[in-house]
Amino acid sequence: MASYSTNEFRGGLKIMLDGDPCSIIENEFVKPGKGQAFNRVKIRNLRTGRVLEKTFRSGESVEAADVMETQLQYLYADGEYWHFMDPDTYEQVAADERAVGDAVKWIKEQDVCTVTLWDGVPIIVEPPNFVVLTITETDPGLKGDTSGGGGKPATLETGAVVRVPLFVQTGDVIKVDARSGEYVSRAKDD
Amino acid sequence: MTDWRPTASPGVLKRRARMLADIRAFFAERHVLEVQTPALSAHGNPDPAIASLRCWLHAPGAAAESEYFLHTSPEFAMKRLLVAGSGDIYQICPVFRDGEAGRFHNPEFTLLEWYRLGFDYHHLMDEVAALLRELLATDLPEHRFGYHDAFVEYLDVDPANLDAPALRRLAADQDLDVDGLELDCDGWLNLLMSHCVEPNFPRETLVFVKDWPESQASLARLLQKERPSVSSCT
Repeated sequence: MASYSTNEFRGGLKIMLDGDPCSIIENEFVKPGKGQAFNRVKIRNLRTGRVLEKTFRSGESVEAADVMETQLQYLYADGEYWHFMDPDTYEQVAADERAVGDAVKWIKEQDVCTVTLWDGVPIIVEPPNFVVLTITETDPGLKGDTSGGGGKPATLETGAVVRVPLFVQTGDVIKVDARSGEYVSRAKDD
Repeated sequence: MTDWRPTASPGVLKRRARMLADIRAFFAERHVLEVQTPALSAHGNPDPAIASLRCWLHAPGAAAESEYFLHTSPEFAMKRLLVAGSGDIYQICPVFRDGEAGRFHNPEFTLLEWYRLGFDYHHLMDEVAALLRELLATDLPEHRFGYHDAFVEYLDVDPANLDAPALRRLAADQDLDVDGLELDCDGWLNLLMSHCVEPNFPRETLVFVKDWPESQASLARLLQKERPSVSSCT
């Protein structure tokens, strides 16, 4: 089984800890004078998202996690799983609710998402940074408003609710920053 | 490496040269002799937690290459000079330690090491403080801790009579994740010292830690006291 020595620790390295795949955020080498050296490591548990601190003896080995990030196209949801496809190999994987998480609010069919696979199984689905979605419902705006001072809520085809300027109407296609959930602009190709 | 430019700016280089000149002036004034001992050695450092860098020497005409080590400090060579009657000596030299790299560590760094005949470690700490105050040109306050007193100050525990399991519990009580860590007494002491004690030291202060545990007293003379502890002068 592949393993890493603490000497190889660096940000982004994927290791196994207590049965869960983790990503190293920060690694600090700590050595008191003539004493034993340690690696004080900040780690994100990729399954729970929790960040923890852990200290290893320098030179110790830990098991490597078979984790990789892939760009996969979202195909469809069957009610239980969300199905993604590798556009090059046409290979498909199914992600469960836990892996999809909040991404469900932003993705629609054909979108290319960053999917983190652990032993080939999706554990994290990240939507594209910007998504283009149709507004299914929003209050009619006031005539003459062009900039949008306060804005109003709008429901998107995926079910997400974002604040949009008053002039934006039901049926409009808009661009949203999926990281912040903020309206960016009306999409040009509507 | 893609960028050939040095990371030190011309200003830093000048300040560093000034500092080296000031150190030399400090010792010249005190009649301490500057020496230079070999960086290349036929033997490595025996300290369990200090690793020597290895290199291979091809002597002319030799049938085989021979293994040599870069010094991790000039301690042994300087002690040979002392024994041979050199008197007070100091050295400023690059030293090398394998497997050390991080925010406070580099595989190569410059070390100042000095020896004063007839000084006890209190006297030597006085001199360290005097040198640092002169180089920093500020009158920094000073704090001297006994090793065990530093633990009492910040962890409320005297570690003197604690065994490995008790030290492990102490680390766990400090919110350190100790799962999977198998250490001996000194390992736990090192962990606690580096993770829980040192980070609490007062800032902008010259902090000395003295009277280290006997088990961590490599190359130092043991103090004869009711509680066994040592002075580590290096």
